[in-house]
Amino acid sequence: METKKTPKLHKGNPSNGGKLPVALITPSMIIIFGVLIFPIVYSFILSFNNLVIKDNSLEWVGLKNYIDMFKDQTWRDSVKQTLIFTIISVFCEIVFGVAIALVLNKEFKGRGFVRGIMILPWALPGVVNAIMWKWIFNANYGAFNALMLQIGIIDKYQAWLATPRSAFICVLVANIWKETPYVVLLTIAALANIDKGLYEAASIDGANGWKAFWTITLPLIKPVLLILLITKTIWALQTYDLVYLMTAGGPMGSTEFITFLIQKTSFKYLKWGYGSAMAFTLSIICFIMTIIYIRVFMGNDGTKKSFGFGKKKGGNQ
Amino acid sequence: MKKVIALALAAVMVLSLAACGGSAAPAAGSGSSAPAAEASKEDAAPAAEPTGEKITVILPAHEMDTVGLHEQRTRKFEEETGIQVELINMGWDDVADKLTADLVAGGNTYDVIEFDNAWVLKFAQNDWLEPLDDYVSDEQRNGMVPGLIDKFSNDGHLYGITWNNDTRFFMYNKAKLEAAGIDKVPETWDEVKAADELLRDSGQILNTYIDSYWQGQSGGNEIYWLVSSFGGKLIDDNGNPVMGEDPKTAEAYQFVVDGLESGLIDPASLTADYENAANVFYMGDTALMMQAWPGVYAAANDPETSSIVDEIAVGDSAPHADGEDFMVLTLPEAMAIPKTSEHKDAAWKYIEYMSSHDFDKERCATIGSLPVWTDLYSDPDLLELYPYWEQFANQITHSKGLPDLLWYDEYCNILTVESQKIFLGEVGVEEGLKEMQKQCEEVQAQY
Repeated sequence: METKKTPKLHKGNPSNGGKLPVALITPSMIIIFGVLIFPIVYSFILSFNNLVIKDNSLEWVGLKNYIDMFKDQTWRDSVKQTLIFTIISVFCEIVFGVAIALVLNKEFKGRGFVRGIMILPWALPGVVNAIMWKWIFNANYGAFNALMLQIGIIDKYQAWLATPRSAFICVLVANIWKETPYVVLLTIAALANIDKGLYEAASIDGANGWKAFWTITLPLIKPVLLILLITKTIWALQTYDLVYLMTAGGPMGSTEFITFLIQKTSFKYLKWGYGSAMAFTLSIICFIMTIIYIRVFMGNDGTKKSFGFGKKKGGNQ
Repeated sequence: MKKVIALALAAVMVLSLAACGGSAAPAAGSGSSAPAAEASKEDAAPAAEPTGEKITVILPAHEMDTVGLHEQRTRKFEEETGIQVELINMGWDDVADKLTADLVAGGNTYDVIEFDNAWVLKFAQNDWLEPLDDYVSDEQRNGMVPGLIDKFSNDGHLYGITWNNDTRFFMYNKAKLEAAGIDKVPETWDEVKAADELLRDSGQILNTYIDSYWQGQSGGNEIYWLVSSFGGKLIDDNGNPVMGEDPKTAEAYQFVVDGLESGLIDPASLTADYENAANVFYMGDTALMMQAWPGVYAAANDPETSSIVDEIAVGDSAPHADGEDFMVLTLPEAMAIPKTSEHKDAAWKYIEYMSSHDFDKERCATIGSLPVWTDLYSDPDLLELYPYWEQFANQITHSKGLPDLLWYDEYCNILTVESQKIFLGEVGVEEGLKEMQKQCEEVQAQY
């Protein structure tokens, strides 16, 4: 009787004579180390030092930069402003995004076109968006002033970017306008995965649209919303170009968000150690958010959970 | 439908790219510009053999150079010397950030760099620049405006050669003043107030002037000028902050607070940079421009950019408080060579070429910039072209630069942020100035 030969299996051990895998991985590891690991480590070291620019040497100061940072009123104001901006931005983006997505999920004539147009603000480069809104809110010739005057809300042109509160709101509006379409895009994708039979069943049971939204739609798109919440929070915390171009952090420093302050501290005041301490603190905040994001998306044990993605229509939801 | 969406997306993409292109001039490589190519054909000088050397030059775009003159001259320099030049033109702030990062890191990316008048102490004390004492000729030292040579010197060494003599002048809308029945150009702040009433009563304008009091470098410049025009001081001669102790400084701030309240000053000043302020003046919505750069005159008389063609004039002096001398700002920019440059001789050749007497005259004639060479102020060809330089000459003798401070950037930030608090009425004038001084002293102690 002829016996079947068992094919030789590759053990998968690179040390077992497999130089190719190492050679393939090395370039990407070098790049990752160069652009990710090294800057993080260097920034961390720098945050405990002062950079002496004249001879490019480091002067150890221990925790001084961190202690000074928490005593610094400008830093505290900046953190407060950034957090308020982040909370309002993310909340509005998600609420408006979901509402728009629900409308765009309905069948109507020209839906494809509206969906295409909807994504345009997000496709605009941040610089263009900031300059565009700066002109819209221009105190002398802005479109917003013309509109408000025409509908009788104001009796003369206002310098919207000249007072702390209105400038803050203007920056918020510009950010929400640009970032909401991303929420719409992902929410539409999540809505497409919901089995329509669920709504039919709910309707037969007497549930109205509002009830169906709270008991069917929201629970099923919750995983996507959670991801959006976390990514949007991280992005909002990192807002830089918008304030750099729209307000330069003014008036009275009222739109001076953390990243803008870090840039000024490091590049203008040349306080690289202090700037690094600020940057590292912001990085830690973002890093924590990322961990949460990974845990939620991938599961505590690192294995991918489906959260409804890829489930068959009509499957057990 | 898909085609329509695709077309719409493509259109937006093209528009976005176009808008991006407009926001900052891209790096110009050798022979990249069409005007440059044309210029090369016209001024066909005998081409030098390529030396194989290449220098990188980073400068902000000259606000008056709307015809690409610097680019054209740079290409001509390449032809005549055989040295290749990568000319990088961007916004001033972008240049500042790029430069600082490179200099701090000890990089050798640039061979010729922008050297702003407010950076002299910072750059010299950090030992970033090559002293030009061995390069500069006696002809240059003696022929260039002395103040410009002094401004870029520190501790007996010269570090920069001026390429942009950015002195500011008081200009006004003569037609509007006449229409309001004002026959004497306001010289003092009291006269400005009196003119303001007549101007606004005449219904021609909503505000008499707009200035740049925003949270940026130009805000710091204009507040400094305003305080100086009242005879006040923000920083004393020893470099110490004194704004909280000076009654004349308080008087200047009170003037702005009252002016914003009454409508004499456009509230948009708190968000306006120089360009915004000039635009409002060009549109004829204000009547006075306190510190206009020389090119404002030409731009105001260009029908493509202005609604006030043939309406403006240059004052013999600039507004000031009664009993005080007037002053105008000078904000020159120079070219310098970083110590890390590996092509110092080629870099100097470029600086020498771009600051030459001949090119200075050509630049004045072509774009209306102010001369760097002293004798050009009395050059008959230029005076025929620019008869208003007579008024410039009256004002330029009263020019004054920004304070020399190692901590200038932090000072400027405190100055603008705290000034805005005063202007917006968040704090009283005296209280605000005292807080400003306290913050400045704390920062000064760190240097």
